[in-house]
Amino acid sequence: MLPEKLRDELFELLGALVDDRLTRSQSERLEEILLSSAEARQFYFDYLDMHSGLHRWQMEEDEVEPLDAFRGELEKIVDQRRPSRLSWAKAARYGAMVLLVVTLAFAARWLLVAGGGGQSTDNAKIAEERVTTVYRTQGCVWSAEQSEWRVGWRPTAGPISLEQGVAELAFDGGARLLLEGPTRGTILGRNRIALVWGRLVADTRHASQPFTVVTPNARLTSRDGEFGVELTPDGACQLHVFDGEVHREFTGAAPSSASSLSSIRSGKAQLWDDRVARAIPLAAARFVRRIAPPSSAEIDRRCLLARESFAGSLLEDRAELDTGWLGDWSVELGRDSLASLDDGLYRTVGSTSATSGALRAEGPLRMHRRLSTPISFQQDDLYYFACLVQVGEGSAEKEGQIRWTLTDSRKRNAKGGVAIGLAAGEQVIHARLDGRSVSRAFSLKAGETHLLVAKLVGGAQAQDQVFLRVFQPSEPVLPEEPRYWSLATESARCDGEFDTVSLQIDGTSSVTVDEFRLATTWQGAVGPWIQGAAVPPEFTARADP
Amino acid sequence: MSSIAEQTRTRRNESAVPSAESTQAFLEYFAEYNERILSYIFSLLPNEQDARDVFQRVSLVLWRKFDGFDRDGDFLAWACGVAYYEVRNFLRVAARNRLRFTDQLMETLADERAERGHEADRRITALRECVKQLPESERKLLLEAYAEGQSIRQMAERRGKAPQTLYNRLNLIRRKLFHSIERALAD
Repeated sequence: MLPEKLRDELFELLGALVDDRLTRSQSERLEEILLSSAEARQFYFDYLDMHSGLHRWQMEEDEVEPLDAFRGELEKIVDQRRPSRLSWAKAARYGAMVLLVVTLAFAARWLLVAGGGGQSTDNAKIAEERVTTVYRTQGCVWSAEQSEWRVGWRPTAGPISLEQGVAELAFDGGARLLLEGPTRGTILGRNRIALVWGRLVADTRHASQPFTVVTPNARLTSRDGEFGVELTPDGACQLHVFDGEVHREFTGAAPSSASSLSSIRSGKAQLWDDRVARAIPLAAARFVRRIAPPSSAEIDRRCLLARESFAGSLLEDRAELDTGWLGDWSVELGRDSLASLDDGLYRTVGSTSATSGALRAEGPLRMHRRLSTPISFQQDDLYYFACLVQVGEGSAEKEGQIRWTLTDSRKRNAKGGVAIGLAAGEQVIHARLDGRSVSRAFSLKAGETHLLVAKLVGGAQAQDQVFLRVFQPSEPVLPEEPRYWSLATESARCDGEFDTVSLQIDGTSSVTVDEFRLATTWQGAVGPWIQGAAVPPEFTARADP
Repeated sequence: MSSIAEQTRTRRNESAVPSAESTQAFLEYFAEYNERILSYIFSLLPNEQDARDVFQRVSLVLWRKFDGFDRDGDFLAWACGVAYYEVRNFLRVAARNRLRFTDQLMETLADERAERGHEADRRITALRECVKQLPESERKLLLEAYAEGQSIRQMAERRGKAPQTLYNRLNLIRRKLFHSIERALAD
């Protein structure tokens, strides 16, 4: 039995823990107690069981039909595009109904896949035959039979014909393959490809299985290497090994001066045909070994719908207006509290130098601007919204809301549309879709720049949803969309078309905003802040955005 | 950025759709153990929203990997192994700025929790009975505090009280409930 004093202390610490109020020193003390005593750890488990049980009890009190909630959540789980929250339903009572839902989801997926054009309509066949993914491309022109291939496509085993450009395929066995057009071959499986003619680079250094390139008279297998293969229509084959080791096995009679099975190591190259095989100089420059992310300029050109850098004073006529707008901002309230700053906000992690200009409001503010291209929830589309926000020193404890909204200027309903924002005093972030709000606690650091990013999912037939993520000042932004979002609204049929962006600041906070971006891709929205490895200058193509 | 192999494995796992038969078998296991898996995750991630996010992810991963599970083996142990990995991944990627336990404590908690998972069920059953015995005002406070989107600050504003007052009151109610549950289990 734990001493009474220790129990009292644990009640205090665990109460702070579950209320998200634990200070660093309390956390250290809690850890010290838990490490020192198995009884304390059992107490910890019991307390958390009670706390989690209260959440589930709350669901019952709300009289939310658990089956409906669980059914909806499982549908979202099967639909991989929509991260979701899983309710804590009583799965034991609804197992049979869940099976029905899953069966219906399989049927829905079957229908979707059948409508995708050329893809297999049998779920079992899909699981068996789709062995690779088109990961990146640059200037790709596929043959007519593969004209629908694009980034994200999951080809079946079968012919592959790239007329032009460079394509990177990520095989399910872990190998990465870069094909350079014109190239023709056959995908044989999750770790094999036959090359008919053309040029490719295989990287197996992170693969879980060896990868094999099959040529007309040889098999080239590598478990932990990177190599290039070039095969001309007359049957001459070159192998260049950049890293690791490649095992070559001739499938027919070996050419003279070559053994039927040999290893070619890093830094070496070989040329052979039916008759002869010989060593040649390594020529890495013959092959494209990387596709770099698209340039930021290209991303902006293709994916950026609107951008506001806040360069130049909003209170005067600005000579240059950023892209994607009809006219300049209309300040409805708070002109006197506005200040245009020469220096933009910047993040300390993974950021390019700050763009010039930022906007500071020292009091209530309401301003609007019209988009030249409205965003629509009436069709299947994704939009990403990003902006930098900084709450002034001494303002973090003050009550105040910062809210970006997207609305339809033709409608009077202020509560419709999309809203995302944060409440500085309450330390809460929130999102609203079609009148329904969600919020959660979030630790905002005064005087530091946070990156607010939202993903807006619109569906023609399916429901709409908004996700929100706030990046802390030192939190890196990765090139890929995060797996976890801080907040997600409930799905709703919004079907709105939004042509107006509004910024509203309530309360007494001092707030600075900068670099508002609205884009159709993750990279388009957060490009300036992505932390990525430096792009190798050589052997590099640049990907399509 | 994760390696290509990790992305490929993730894509493969996420795109592969288990058969209906496999799914049915998985659901039978999941129906029995899902609450214990959630309790396990919650022990390592006491933030309710985080635990939900990870539980959702774990559920999907377990479903997709179910064909690789030895059905003579211990489903809960296997599931907790997956959950532990996902919790560690979550803490590495999404919760960088939160206070978190050291790896040593995380491993200890994970091991002991996996062994004691069955005890959570009894406590939750006792909890429901004990909540019913609370005074109406205390039940109401619990309901508001555990309702979606209700912050303590908002509740305090509505009541015209300081947030710390409500935190203290909530703590007292939880302590009272804890004692009630202990008594109920001892009987």
